[in-house]
Amino acid sequence: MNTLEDRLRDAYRAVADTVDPATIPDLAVPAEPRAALSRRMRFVIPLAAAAAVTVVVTMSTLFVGMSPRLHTRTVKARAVPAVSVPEFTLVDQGSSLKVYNTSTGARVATVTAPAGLQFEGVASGGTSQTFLADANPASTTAPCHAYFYRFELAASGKPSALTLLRSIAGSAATAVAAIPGGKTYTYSAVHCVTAPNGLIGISGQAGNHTWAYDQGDDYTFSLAATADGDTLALSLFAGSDWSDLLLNTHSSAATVDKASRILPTVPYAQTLAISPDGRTLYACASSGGTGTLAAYSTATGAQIRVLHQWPVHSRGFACQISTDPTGRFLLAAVASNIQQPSTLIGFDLRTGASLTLPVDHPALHFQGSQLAW
Amino acid sequence: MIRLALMLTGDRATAEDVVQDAFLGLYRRWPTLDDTDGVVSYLRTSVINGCRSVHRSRRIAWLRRPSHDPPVWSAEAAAIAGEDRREVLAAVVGLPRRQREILALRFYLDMSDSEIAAILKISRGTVSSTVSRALATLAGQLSPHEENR
Repeated sequence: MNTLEDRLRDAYRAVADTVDPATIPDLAVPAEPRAALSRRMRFVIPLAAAAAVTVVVTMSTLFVGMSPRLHTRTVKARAVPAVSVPEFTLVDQGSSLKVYNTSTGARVATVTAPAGLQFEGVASGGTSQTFLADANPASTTAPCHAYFYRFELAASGKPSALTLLRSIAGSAATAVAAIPGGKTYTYSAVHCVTAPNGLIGISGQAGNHTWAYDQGDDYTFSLAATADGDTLALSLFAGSDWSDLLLNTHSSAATVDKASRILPTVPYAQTLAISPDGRTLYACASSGGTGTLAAYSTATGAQIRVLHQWPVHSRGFACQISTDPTGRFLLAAVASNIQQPSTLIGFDLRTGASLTLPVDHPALHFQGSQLAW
Repeated sequence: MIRLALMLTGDRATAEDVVQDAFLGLYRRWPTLDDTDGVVSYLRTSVINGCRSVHRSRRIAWLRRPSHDPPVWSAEAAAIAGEDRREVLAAVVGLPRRQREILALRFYLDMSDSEIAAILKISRGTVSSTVSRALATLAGQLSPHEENR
């Protein structure tokens, strides 16, 4: 056995030999087979849990100094001026988007998914009144089809009708984001059957362009853009590992990896946020029982400062972040344990203040881009 | 089919689930199938697609420390004898998805480039080049094989 091919065959045969045909259970046809599960469940986004979520945005409008403190510690109010936060907080619950008044925590509106669809995520639409959402068919028996929408909120929070921006047959939507100002948006979709694996697209004033990604078992769950739209932050399998990437939207390259620069020293994060000037990337990581939300230099990859730290249990943690259209405010949902409540925290990146917003549900999981300011 | 799924997912329980789903899909589509001769090909494609979904799910749930069993090629599972085999399989796991799929189809099922291309809906040239890249990567990562390791 000298060749690599022979070694592969031998190794595969050894794997196969671990399966004794006599031990294979009979096939079963359940009365309510997996067709009842949504495509979202295939993506393992715990909609069932999220559907029951009630976000209680208990407003404590006092911002406190942003020292790295454990979230479980009581936050002492300091003599810090109140800061006006984005008026509405949107939470994707699959079948609908819930609109909350950030100041009171009251739910003010619901955006229902179009018939037969469910939302995959929600994002700022580039202005304080506009939002974007991506959606897929709710049933796994329906053909894959990605949908991207825009809608507006009135001063009362009442939503407009959804405007379809784009649909892609044969693909599933995974993320959407707007370039600040709202004239251009970016989107991500994964092909359900055919290669390449997926694409990142941008559409708007600057024209239309797509970049394919074809490596790894992967697709991005969040997109974030700089104010000029020149750079997108996303995380994907690139090179030989999952990585945080900065995609140059002026690149004429055909693929994401060729159009992007990897930030090797920034910890891989499922969601990323980027400052309007593109100099700072925000990402979560966990190490040694502590979760950390930190800012990193996009030039060097070095950590600039820690925004928040919280205890992380052995079963893993959750963290999702996004910014408001101005890039001044960062919204984060963090959890010590994916089976425990997540907490909404707002950060004023200009003043370095933070605001804690308790979330009242034990099984709340935030995955992907399910929060927007 | 379970063995193929096991190559791609690493644990038996998940492999069985994937194959169960593939057969369930076939069961539903059976009345509309025009060509029952292509059932095996259909199942293989379904299994590969199911394994892709599993990988995506695991990636998405990476924060959750997924509860699936350790891969059969891990020392922890102690299911496969031979350090060289575990080393080879561990290196294969590090390859991109398409390369792993093509290697399993080529070196486990001994499928031709044409057959692999048909299943994965890619060109024969892509199959060939992908195999070459995968083998080159593995050759760079694996230590030369020594008998009696």
